[in-house]
Amino acid sequence: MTHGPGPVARAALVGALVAALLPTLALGAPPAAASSSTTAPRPRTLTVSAASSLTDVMGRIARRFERSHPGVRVRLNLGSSATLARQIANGAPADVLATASESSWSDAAIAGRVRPSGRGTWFARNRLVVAVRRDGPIRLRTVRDVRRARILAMCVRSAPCGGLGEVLLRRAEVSFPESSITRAADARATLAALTRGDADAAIVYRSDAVAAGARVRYLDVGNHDNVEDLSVYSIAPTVDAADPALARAFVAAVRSDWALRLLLDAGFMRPPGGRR
Amino acid sequence: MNPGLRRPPRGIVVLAGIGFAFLVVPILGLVRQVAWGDLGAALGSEEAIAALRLSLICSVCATALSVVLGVPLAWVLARVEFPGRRIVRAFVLLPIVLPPVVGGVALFAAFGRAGLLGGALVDWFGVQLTFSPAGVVLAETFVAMPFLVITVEAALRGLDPHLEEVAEELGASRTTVLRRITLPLVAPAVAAGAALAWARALGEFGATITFAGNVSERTRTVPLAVYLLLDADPQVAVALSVVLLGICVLVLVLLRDRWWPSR
Repeated sequence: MTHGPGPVARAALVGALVAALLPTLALGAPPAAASSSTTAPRPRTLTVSAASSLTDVMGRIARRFERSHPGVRVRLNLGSSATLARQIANGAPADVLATASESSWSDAAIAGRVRPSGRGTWFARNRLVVAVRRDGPIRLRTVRDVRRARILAMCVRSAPCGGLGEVLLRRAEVSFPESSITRAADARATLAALTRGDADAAIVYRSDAVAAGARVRYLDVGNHDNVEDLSVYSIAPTVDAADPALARAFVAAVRSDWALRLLLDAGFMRPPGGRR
Repeated sequence: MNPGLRRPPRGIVVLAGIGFAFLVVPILGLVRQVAWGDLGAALGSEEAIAALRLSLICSVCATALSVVLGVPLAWVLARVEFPGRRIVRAFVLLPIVLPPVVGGVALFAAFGRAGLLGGALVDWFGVQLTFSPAGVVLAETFVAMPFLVITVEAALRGLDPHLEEVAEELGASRTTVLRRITLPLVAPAVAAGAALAWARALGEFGATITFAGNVSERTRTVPLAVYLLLDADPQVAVALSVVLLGICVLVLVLLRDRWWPSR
């Protein structure tokens, strides 16, 4: 029994000790830096979980936000809207959540990380397009030309772009065998399957096709007045944001006129007018 | 016995305990998440069955390919003196340490339609490897074969050369020696290497999703299904994870004599 609980308790003690020491080691800044931090404001980090379709434009907004807020670092966590919501529901650190749909927010709301209403503020819309590689085998005249693709890249069904893609194909009365569809985890991974991969066509957001530039051609499809054909992007600070004022300031920046110009340039559409 | 070994330093024991806990706690966490009552239903779903079937077929093919190509490669590395052998061995071992996603990008550069060989394959034979089950086998073989090669090469080097020499002196041809002496002697190593390669092939994710994509029933293997179902259907994802865990435990048990000497 002498070897019973003793080592376990000691292990726990040392574990706690190591855990207590690690941050000090990681932040073991030289004294010079420590003294300078008394004059300059302490660097603050804002973690923004953003849908992968926002990759470029949110980066631009974040850089401008950093310029107007000295000492603030914006860290982007990019992924599919469903993945981001799951991460946040599971306790991932995040100060702001910006996704292509609110449909996944209920989980995060249940976990008490976003407002109980599970709603944020609208800041943009996006629509799906059919994209092909410029040097690829397919010329797009109508959406039905997508049937000539041997492999079509789409988002997984759990991601907003995946669910919308199903609607798009159904509306166009194109039935595409699942065995010829490669499903990527998020919008940008779907685009990559087309631009870097061997997929012949992809169903991606218009903003993704714009971001790909000269490498792809795309065809606008669908009825753009129909809400069902659009992704409406929502943003909100998390309930437990480390610095609520800073998180609110970032949300305000994303909803500002200059951010809207960046969004429109990137291929997004204005948010729905009216209530939010 | 050395008395120092009976009472090891406390600091080392504590660090070892933390190290062990670090490795074990995640596994316990995974097992705890399993809804055992619904496991059958989760694994019986169409999605899970398709992924399991594809994974099984592709990993077995990759293992077979690894044996067919890897054993000769191991033999050459162990028995043939040639300039640049160390460089060749380094290349053979590279996929073990290479991030699998980089392996996938590299496979693309070789076998993608715009790759070194892929264009010719499509133009001349109409074979497109990307987004196909054959592409999965290729990706899995790329990451798995090195494990077989190092295992078999080590066994060949450890062989007593006298056995083969005596057989040759007694008049056996070189192929007979290879077939009747060498291969039976390294058979356990081939089996162990194959089991290792199989486990690695079964778990392959990065190279597969990069090179072969994620096509239902064609390239969506179990690891891809686990990753992509985490959002849509976490119960199935956890159930499939447990199946992979079980298979890995089985492989360890099969290899116990190699890795867990009874001492």
